Amino acid sequence: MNLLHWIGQLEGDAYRSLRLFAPEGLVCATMLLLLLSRMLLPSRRRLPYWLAFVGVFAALAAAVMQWPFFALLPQLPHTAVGGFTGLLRFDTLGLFFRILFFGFSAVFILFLGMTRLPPDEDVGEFLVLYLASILGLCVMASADHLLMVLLGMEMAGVPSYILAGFIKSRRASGEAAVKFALFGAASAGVMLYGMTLLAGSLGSLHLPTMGMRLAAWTDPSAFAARAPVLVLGLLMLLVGLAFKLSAVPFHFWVPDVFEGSAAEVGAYLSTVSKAGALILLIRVASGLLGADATIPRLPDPAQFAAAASRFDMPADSRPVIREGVIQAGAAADRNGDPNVRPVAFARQDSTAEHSTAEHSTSELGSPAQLVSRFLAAVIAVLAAVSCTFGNLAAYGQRNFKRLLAYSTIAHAGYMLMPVAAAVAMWRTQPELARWALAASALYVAIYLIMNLGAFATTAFLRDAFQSETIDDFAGWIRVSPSLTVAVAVIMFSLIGLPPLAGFVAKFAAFASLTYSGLWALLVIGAVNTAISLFYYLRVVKVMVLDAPSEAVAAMPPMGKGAVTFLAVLAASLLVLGVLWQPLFTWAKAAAGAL
Amino acid sequence: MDFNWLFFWILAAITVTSAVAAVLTTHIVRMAFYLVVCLGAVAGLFFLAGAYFVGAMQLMIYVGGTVVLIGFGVMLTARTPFVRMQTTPDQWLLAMVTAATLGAMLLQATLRYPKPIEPPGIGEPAVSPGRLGTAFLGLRLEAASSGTSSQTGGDGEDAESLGVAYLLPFELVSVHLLAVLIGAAYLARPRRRPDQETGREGEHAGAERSGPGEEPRPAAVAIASGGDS
Amino acid sequence: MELPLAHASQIPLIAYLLVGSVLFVTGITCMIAKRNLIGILIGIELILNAGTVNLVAMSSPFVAGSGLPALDGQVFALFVILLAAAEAAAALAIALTYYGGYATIDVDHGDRLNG
Repeated sequence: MNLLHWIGQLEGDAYRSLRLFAPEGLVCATMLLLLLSRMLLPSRRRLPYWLAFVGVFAALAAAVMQWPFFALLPQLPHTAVGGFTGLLRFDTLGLFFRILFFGFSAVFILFLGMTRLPPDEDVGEFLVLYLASILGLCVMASADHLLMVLLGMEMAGVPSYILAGFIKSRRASGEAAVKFALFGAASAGVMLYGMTLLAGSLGSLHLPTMGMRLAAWTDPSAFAARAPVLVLGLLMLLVGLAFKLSAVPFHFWVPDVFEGSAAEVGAYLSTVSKAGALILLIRVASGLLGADATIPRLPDPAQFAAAASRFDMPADSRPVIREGVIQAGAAADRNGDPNVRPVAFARQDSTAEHSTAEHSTSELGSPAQLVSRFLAAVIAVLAAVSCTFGNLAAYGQRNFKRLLAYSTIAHAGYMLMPVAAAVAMWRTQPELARWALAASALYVAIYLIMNLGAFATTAFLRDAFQSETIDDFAGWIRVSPSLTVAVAVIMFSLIGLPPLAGFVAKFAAFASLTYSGLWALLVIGAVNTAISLFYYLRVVKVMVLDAPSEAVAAMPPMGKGAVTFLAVLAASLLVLGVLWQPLFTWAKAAAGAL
Repeated sequence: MDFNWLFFWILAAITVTSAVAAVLTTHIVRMAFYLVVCLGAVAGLFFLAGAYFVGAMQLMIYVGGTVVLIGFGVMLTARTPFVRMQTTPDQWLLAMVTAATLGAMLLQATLRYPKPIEPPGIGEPAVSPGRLGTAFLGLRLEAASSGTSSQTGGDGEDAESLGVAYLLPFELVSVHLLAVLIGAAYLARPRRRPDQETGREGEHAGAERSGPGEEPRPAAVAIASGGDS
Repeated sequence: MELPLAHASQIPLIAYLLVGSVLFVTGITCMIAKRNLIGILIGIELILNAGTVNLVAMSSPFVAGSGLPALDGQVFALFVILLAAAEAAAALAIALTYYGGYATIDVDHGDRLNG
């Protein structure tokens, strides 16, 4: 009986989930091929780059091919597919971020091929660690269970600690890796403790179930008894996420790690690592806040049947309500028939029932509303403090990578602002909350390009000139004008000047703040954008206006590959600054899943 | 004689005292030993709570693996026979203040810990390794019989409860362990390539050190590490 | 699988949670007070053990007031043990690299990166 159960389970849920998990499976296969090639063909120096690029590109293609499967289901809005018996949640937002991760990885591997680090015989290991980290980020993007939250954080984190210390001959590298690893492990431990408190008081480790239990507490006195544990658990969970997001006051690792480790690793850490933490924050927030205590309306049977066939559900499946979400089950078969495994989760946008749920006995609002306001307040404070601190501390930095590190902290603050807006509006205005999430996704996408360009500049200049101090870059415009122009475009985009993509991203983030009414945050954000003008401009000024030293004047021109790479990134920022509509439409389609 | 309480008190006392002793001691080897005792007592607490497999794994992996690793780390990095760490008074003050604050917060939360919403199944038999194994294979057996989660269904449908099975993390963690193993092996091996300019070996990890405060010359470092400043 | 101890009185969850919180606070103190890499690593292990104690207690059928299904808590605890072991291995490898550069595991000597 058990064997039949198991085979049925594998045929149903596991097979379906594996098909949706195929991009990550391709990444695993690439890792294995990299290790085998290192063992069997060690003399081919460029082979690891090609293998990794092909593997990541295949994963990207597999992910992009999944998009129509999710997006073309107008009959069932806000659809997600539960993967691996509820551990993962495959939906458009997660797919958006996974596509971003794979796309970034492809470009990153090209970039790695152009720089002088990592040393040739160690490329295989570098790429294996990098791909393992990307795997962790993809798990973070689809997490629906606290175990996957922890697993994703650790899978993304531990290889990146090792990557930070990859250059063994650099003393600062070892120190950077030590600080990163100890800080990271401590924050993971604190996060774990917070998760146990949350899970214990809410009675489950599955995020939507936790949200449902939270929403079911309509009695304010019962909630007041549980509030300390919930608050403490949430705060400790946020400690771990804030560490990865480099939000103040958990930012202490950022300047040292970025300065000590290689610029390539800094490019990876400041971009996709942060993006993964952001989507994980969104997942946790949406799981805890998203469920509705009211009974959702069942969809029209005809619509459901049409959608059921697309999800490979049995022909006679009918919608079943379980834990606040609509799932598919065969009619009345409870004896463990494996074909009954639920597949699709869909939530009705029951705005009518929202109003009855919100009129609870307490004038402060239902417990779920309280939690959402608390969470929004915490995220808003993190955002405000991060961007202010990052911008102020970036002044007076002599080392370019340290400047970029503080800039990263500031941008983490900007990235968190739309998330705060979304969480604040989650129960009251779900449509606008989704718009805010789309703005946040747009910001992440544009930020990936900008920061990759900034760190690529550092890497190329280090290769050419063995220096990372800004004052050593004086007068580069005479050596390589096209590179200087590209760098200037990237810096202007980081400030947020129109008509570049950075402006679009900031505008969307600030617009979401106006929708949610977080005016204080808007003012702080605008002031900070003005403050940040000068330290980015100083870099451009040094490169353009200052007189070059003799060493710089005698430099040969930069390699074509480097210049082309930066020029392409800068051009894409220009193009996205003008033609941002398609990207934002895609982001809005992605955010519609919640 | 209430054996449950007796064993709990003994094990809890051992855990707490050895953990506090690990903090207070200045001897690094003693600290590692106190950690062993603490983790062993925690494994005992696991056995008491009915988590037999987890307790066994705690002993095997933590006590038998991680602490041995820490011991190797101590041995490889100690330059004198007994490394003593002195903690300055102001660091102790900071630590005590943090501990007191955190302790107060945690104590407050713990003592006001609420009753659970629905006890899932007090009195059901403890989890056997067989059920753990099938969960790791992707099959959750007891889900078919009892519904452990609340039902909000309005039309009387009694769907199965959410049986989360752990096939995916079981496989993913093996990939993670592989990657960490590769990375740790890379970091721990000595550099094989000699320094091209001066002919002497590049910096090794290990005991043969030229001196703690010596800064390598920038030019040699730049060439030896391929252009990294 | 009924054991004789199952007929004894159940231990309340709060007792286990207190043990967990003591371990957590001790771990944090150890991390802050020790300036030695190995000492900080031991503090981290204590913190992670606090989490596992909480999890196992919350999912135990022999504990009064436990709220999680038994299997879920125990599987989570197993994964935490695994991940902690991997992290300790990586941290020790990184410590060896640090030692290779500084010839000491005292973190106060790592001041080349100020801040």
